[in-house]
Amino acid sequence: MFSSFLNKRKDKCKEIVDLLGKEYPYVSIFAKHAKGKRLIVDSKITQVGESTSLMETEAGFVIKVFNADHYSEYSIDDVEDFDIDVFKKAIALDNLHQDHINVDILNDEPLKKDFERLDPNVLTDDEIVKKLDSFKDYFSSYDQRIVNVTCVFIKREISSMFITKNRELTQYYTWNNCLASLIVSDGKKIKDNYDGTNGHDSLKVLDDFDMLKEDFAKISVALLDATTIEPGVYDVITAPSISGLIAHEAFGHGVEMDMFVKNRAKAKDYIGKRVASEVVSMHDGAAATLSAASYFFDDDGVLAHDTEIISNGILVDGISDVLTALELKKEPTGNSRRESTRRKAYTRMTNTFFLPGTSKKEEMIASIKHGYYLSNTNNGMEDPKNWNIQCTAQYGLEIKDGKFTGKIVSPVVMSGNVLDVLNSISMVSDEYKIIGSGQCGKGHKEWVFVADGGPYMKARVKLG
Amino acid sequence: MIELLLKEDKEISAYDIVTTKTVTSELFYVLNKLETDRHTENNDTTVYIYVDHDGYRGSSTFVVNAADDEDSLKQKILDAKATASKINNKYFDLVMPSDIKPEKIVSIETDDLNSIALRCMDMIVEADHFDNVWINSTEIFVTKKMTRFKNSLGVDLEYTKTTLEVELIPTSRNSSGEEFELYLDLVQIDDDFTKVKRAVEDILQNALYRADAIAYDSETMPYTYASITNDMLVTAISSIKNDLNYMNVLQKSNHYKINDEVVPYDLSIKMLPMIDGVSSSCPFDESGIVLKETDIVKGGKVTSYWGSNRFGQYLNEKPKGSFKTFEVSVENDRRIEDPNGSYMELINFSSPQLDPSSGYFGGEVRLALYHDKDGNITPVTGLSLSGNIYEALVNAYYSKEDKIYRNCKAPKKIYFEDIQLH
Repeated sequence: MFSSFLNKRKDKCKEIVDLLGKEYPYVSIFAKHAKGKRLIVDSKITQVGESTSLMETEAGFVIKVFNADHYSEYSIDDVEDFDIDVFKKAIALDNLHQDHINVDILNDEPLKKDFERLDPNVLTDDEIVKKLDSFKDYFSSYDQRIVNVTCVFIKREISSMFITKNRELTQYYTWNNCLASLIVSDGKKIKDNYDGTNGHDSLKVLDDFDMLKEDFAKISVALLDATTIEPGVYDVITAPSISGLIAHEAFGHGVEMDMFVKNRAKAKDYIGKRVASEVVSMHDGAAATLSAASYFFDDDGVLAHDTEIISNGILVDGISDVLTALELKKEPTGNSRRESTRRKAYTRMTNTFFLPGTSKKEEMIASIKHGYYLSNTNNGMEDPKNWNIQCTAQYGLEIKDGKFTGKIVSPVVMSGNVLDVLNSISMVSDEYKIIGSGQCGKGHKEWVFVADGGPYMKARVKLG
Repeated sequence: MIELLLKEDKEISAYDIVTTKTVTSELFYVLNKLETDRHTENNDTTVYIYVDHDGYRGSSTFVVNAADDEDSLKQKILDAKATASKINNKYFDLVMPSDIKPEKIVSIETDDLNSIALRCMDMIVEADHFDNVWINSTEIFVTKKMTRFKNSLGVDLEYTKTTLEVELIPTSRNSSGEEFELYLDLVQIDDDFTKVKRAVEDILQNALYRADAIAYDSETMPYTYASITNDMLVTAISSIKNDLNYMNVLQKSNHYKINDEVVPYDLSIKMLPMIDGVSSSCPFDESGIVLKETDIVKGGKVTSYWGSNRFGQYLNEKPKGSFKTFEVSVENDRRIEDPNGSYMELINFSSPQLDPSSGYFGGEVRLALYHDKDGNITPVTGLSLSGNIYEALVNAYYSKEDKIYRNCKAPKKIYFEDIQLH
């Protein structure tokens, strides 16, 4: 249910918008009340409580005004005792000697709407802890080389509200993640591995985890036998997790259009041009699918979009926040996102993924003479300016003459030029998966929840 | 109000309360022009409650924010008690009041955060005096944070810290018109703006080097040593430091035990509550332990684990506390000036990789400086590093000069003899 706290503050927000509207040509208030809960069952302790991360639990307001020739923001816990003099003092800058960017005034198209998406199967804490306990017991008894198990369930409920002179939006939605981290040891080597499931239906998230736990335990123990890969160029099959990582790093960050404004992204010069092989199509958007970043409107009050980034290998468009869109004289795509109400909104990815193709996974594996099946995201990095990417898979399984050899390598670093990687994609599977358990930073900060994924893809890449 | 409610509740065995008040001034520039200014004032309270039952100490956590009134707080306490009373965690004692005085955190002393942010930007503009390189975007954050810790046994500690953070992207252009960028993230606890200016000038100079860099050629660029800057060193040593945290020991994920020799054999790691200029310095941890200098590795041998109050007690140790800052040092015979002869100085990685378990480390090098035997410097790119950090550290040498990187003071450079560049 939408936050009663925000409901109580709605009229006050309108009052402040009216008051500040007498002095500033644009005023908006974005308010958020997020409730996060973390339930952790570890081999040693159990912890249940509200999340202390501001990404998951917070109550706050952002007041944004057009301040002569740029935008000023004021973030506070509550607006109930709003004092215009304190506000003016806070945003007063004695900086007349410094240049300002001179942007226009934001659009304020009328819209009043309430959105809601409920968890269809809300579970009690006791029910979740019981299930996590059963997962822990399963892993603990699976193999004595599993020396520590941590099972985590994260429940998030998000209420937010956006108020301007003409706009009044509210939304409520939920998201859940279940994940486990295993530490395996044979007395000499120690390895760790994690995997998880996610969704807005709590019960399904736990059921899905139940389905993957055996494969997860098996691969975790197998990591003890993993070797490092002989650096070289290989044919690979990427699992949906790695396809998603490529989407995110290669052309997710690359088309964040605040980078276009700063002339920091090469993609700016490639709109309408070929950037990938014909079998590659890619989307981003809060409305593009139902996953971790599926809100109804963004943190600057723009409705969720489904943006086509790449269509059959051609770069179609980028994603933008409101200020970026204003500066580029484009329509914003609903990608203004903040880590919390205490942080600035930037152009950020939401749910970013490659579309499925027509190939069968089995025929793709069978087509590999010598290469690797890469799975499970470790980390990734992008360079929108020079189009270098680096994606690290937790492990790779060797394929020879179309069959798995049983050899496992870990970790596997895939690097190269974005165009080379995307143009090398020759097969795309008809099945695909989107993983809603990611977090993405801008630079080394500004974390937001994201989803990425896609089909199984065959590519030729440099591994090290 | 929350403390009163907790004190009145006889079913609560113990509690910790952590409150923070944070005020910031933030400036965002594109090409040195102000795009957005932000100002924040926020309060946070986190409450940990403990319920003792059947020999166990169950706990639960909740957050108090603006959305909470008296009724919702009472409900949160009820819910937390119900949860804690069903959790069968091993008993541990809360931190007792102590006569040990917390170290004083010396940081920027002002309430005029806007002024600090603006003066910092002035200094950045002053540093931006090179041709063919410019500052593309700059973000400045001045943050004043007051932290207070209280528990039901009477511990009551507080400190205030003001930090300055600059995130900056310089872009350079070479003679063919190609553009390149680097990244600077500078955090400091003092308002010595000359340090900001120096760091900005250094990154602009490196961006120029990046524009002029030529492709690595192993045949024409022979080297005896390859050096990395201390960001990679700190990342590597952090994995050893983290390995010795009580949590990892409890989870059996630690590679080292007390008296084990770590690699390299002559390295020392000291946990400290405060290091001059290090922004993460804090005098006490989140469980109220007053932090005191602690050697965890000395002369290459593990001397102590470290970590939180709870996990320390679970290991039957006197808890050392959860430190945020540490110092890495090595024996003097391992500390050298830049080596004579040819060497490759690796300046900037795209995304350095380090797997603490296998020791694998490497990544794509965005910028290296090749120093030939005659002392000439050639900027180089298009190479990558891969190797085993633990093996490489055995024969490593370290610079005499120290440098702060994030939460650590460590030798500024580390020199490897046998490391693969390709």
